[in-house]
Amino acid sequence: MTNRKNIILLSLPFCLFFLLFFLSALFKSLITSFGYYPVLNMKKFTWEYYISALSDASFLSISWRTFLFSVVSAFLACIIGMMIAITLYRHKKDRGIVFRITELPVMLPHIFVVIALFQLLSQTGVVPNILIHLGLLQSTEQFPLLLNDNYQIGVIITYLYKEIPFVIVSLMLVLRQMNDKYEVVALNLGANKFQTFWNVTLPMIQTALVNAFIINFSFNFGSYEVPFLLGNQQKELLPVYIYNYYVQGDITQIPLVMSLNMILSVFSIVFAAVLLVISKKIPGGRIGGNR
Amino acid sequence: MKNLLNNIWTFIFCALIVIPLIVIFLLAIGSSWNYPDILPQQLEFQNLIKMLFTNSELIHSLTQSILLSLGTIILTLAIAYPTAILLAHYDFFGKKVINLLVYLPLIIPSIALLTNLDFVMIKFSLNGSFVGVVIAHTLFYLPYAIKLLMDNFEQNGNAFESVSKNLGANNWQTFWNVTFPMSKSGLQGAILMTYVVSMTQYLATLLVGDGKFLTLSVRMFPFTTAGKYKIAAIYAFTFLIVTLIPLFLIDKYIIRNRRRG
Repeated sequence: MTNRKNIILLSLPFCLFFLLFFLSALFKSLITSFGYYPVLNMKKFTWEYYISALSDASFLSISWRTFLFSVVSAFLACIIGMMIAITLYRHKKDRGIVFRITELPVMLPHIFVVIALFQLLSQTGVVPNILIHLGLLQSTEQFPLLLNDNYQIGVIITYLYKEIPFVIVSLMLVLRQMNDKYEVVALNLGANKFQTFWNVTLPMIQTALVNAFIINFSFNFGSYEVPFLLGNQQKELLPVYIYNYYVQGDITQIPLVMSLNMILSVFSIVFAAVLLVISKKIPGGRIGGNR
Repeated sequence: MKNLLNNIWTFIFCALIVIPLIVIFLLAIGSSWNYPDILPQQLEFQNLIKMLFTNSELIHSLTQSILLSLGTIILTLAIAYPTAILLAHYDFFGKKVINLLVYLPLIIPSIALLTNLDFVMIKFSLNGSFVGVVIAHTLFYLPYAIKLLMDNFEQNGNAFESVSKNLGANNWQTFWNVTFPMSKSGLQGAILMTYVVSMTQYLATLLVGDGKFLTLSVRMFPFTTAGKYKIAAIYAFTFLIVTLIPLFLIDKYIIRNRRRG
């Protein structure tokens, strides 16, 4: 009986907070997206806003572009992060100063990287200048446009700077707990380095890797700051598009914005769920489940 | 030879991480670092130090940032600590649901979450208030804080609590003398990260705060879009001083002392 009382007491703060500020926010935007918006005297439920959202060509193309961009940058961060993590671990550089430096970007705000990139990589920045001094470039115009460009290169660099270290730090926790005797056994039994990695190491770290991928993807997909500063206005990314829609002040557009939000939220949840199910099914899904 | 090559790669990797910090530092202390200079023409430490102590806008931003993050730490811990104990030590109907709910704020795109939250904050008339901004910051770091504390509790197990209760301690005594002291490292991690994450929030502070809370992160933005990198870097530098130095000191003194003891 006391057990039951404890459970209720312990779960109370979380449930209250989530009910008030998370679930209620989701619920409110759900009913608003169906056209229930008493402020404007709209009380009928309708699919109208979903239909117009899903037939809006610019919303669809921006969503697709943002999805591709988020997958590519999250994937790059995971692959590069994994290679660096394994290398550092193999060479016993996973503690001390190198690891401390690796942890740094996780704690820095994105805007730090943005300011530094503007100073370094814009066409009148420090890097093109150094290249000119070295005689590799004749004029600054020859330096490729990397910031506010069509391919979101500036945004991707910023995300990689933050996310590669995040992947390294989260994989390192798993690698340290892992028993590396399995790898020795595999090598002894005649597996080559790639086979050992593919059949032994990767299954042991894949759940941590998938989790890191989901967190990175969701961040890239929904975060506003960096695309706003380093993105290209002709090739908008979704967060900037939605934010502009929301703050433009046209209150009749609110149900439409909320339907966009619902579509994106459902999409992200389904995408994450699919990845988690795949990660459970492939080798290593059950043993590594505690991380 | 292979070792040397490895060291070179490690060095390049570390250099890539540190370069943005060096650029921020040089921007903050240098003057007239414009095209076509490769390095700032003059360094003026005094100016920066004077600004840190006398510029009222900067000091005001700093106080707001710190107050908001203190509020966020308190609210985050008040929610995350009991939830972490619950998920680590108890089995009950609906545990799976809570386990999933905890991670939802990480998965739902933050722009959607924020506009939804702002919308409901207006309904509660919490928009533009200190509490409203603290709630928004808390929502974003809560999943990490719960996970961090939960791992800590799971590592400790609850055998010590059982022993304490067997020996006749009541719930409160067990909590104060066993559970709480044993969770210190998890708590420290959660507090430090909540502090840093709250300091970095931009859009949550701006949107839910109705632009009334001009924290360091919020002020850095317009300077950056206007191309005033030097002043943006001064704010960034202030940010570094108040986050990295405490992190470093705590790590060095508290955590190492414990290892030794």
